[in-house]
Amino acid sequence: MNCPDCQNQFSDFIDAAIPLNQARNLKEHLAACSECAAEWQLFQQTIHTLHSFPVQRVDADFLVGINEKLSPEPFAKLKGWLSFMRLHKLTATTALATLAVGVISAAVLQLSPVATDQNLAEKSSLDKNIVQAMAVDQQESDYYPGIPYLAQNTRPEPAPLRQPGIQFTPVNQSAPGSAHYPLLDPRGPPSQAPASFLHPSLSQLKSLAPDLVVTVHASSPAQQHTLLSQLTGNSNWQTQISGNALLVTLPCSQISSFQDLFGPAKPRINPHVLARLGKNAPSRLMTVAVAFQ
Amino acid sequence: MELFFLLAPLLCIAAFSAPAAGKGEDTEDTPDETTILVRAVLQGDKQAFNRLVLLYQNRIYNLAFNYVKNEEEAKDLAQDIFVTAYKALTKLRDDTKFGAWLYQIGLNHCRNRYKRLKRSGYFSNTSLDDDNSSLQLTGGESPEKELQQQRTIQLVRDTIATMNESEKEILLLRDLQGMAYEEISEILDIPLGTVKSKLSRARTSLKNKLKRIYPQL
Repeated sequence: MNCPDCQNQFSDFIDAAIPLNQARNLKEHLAACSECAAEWQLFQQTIHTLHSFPVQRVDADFLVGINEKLSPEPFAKLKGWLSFMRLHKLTATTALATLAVGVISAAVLQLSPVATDQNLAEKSSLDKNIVQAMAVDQQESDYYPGIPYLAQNTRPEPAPLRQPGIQFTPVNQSAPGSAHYPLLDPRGPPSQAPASFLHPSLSQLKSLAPDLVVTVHASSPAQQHTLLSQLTGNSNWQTQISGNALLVTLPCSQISSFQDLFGPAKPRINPHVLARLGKNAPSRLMTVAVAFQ
Repeated sequence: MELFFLLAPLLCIAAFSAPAAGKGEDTEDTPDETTILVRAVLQGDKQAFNRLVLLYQNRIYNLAFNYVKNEEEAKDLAQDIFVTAYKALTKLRDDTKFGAWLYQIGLNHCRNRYKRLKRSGYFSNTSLDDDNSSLQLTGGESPEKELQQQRTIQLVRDTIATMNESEKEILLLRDLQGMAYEEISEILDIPLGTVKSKLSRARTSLKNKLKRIYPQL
């Protein structure tokens, strides 16, 4: 037996797990080899040290602890939550206050006329219906000489504004909608409208297909004449009378000059319409229907 | 050879001190009794589980203690092992193999707890001066000898801690838990021959480490 073989059998030898003849050979080698004998002594001491490790014994409450871990405390979740509330009283109070503020804010917002997505969608749907009723993709505007933005007011004015030397007669706006769309209301002309102010029919407007409709609420023929002169006096614009409406065809680049004719109450034009028409394209023409009422 | 003179009194003390693991109250454990208790637990007898705990508590506690080297931590770890065993008892396929199955659960828990504690720097904070890491040996030796004995055991523990996982486990099971080769084979799920060869390597490795790390011994 050589030294490596001998030392490899130390573990089995100390456990008495080798055959007797091998054990005898090993003992003979250990008696003859001092180096292996020293290693064997060290090996024995190491194993005996391991065997001498003291046995630790559990505490008396070991089993009780296991049963406590196995049996969950009744209402443990509720107790935990309550203790959390006690420990974090300020946090819980703040959370409740925040919740209350949130509820109140939601209630206020629900009651107030805020432009929500739903409202906007409804408005958009209404506008779409109007456009469909007009059957033309156009814009309209009312012009009251000397009475800026009067057409936007849906409530009857108690007294019309007057300027020296000029008589203005505001249109009857008792019927909502007729003030905004006096020419285009599919329900027909307001019943209280003067008989002399005949509206162009809807079919007429459809056939005209203007890009913009401006309704002029002039109180006298002189005012109508002045405005007609300005509209027809521009050599760059083409005009054509159609019933009570004057069709003006002008380059898109001169829309500002057209708007200036109406002073501070100049017709507002939707930017999307202008973009569609190509405002920056000088050669592009647009048609405006100016209706006198 | 100095190591021999140092350890010689230790061997004498060990012979008359506390019984080795697996003895004492646990000697009452027989496979038959364990199997009967396991079947009773499966039928809903909770007292039978308490009896099982009493049969295995010291062995499992020592296994845990040799991993974490702290009494409170070992107690908590051993309790967790029994709690896991109780909850998973219905998954035990062979009720005659409860012991091996319990040790498998125990080793898994020990590995996980050891890794967690090691990551948190727990073992670097313990020292020989720490009361929790010192060992109380019985016997009428002088305080100097007891102190030397404690120091030697602690050095061996520290050396074992530097060994790889498989070597450490087989040393714990065989030389600290006093298990037979067949039991170790079942627990680690390796052939008997592999148990012997691994044990031989682990023991030789420990011997060589002790000789190299502590030449003064």
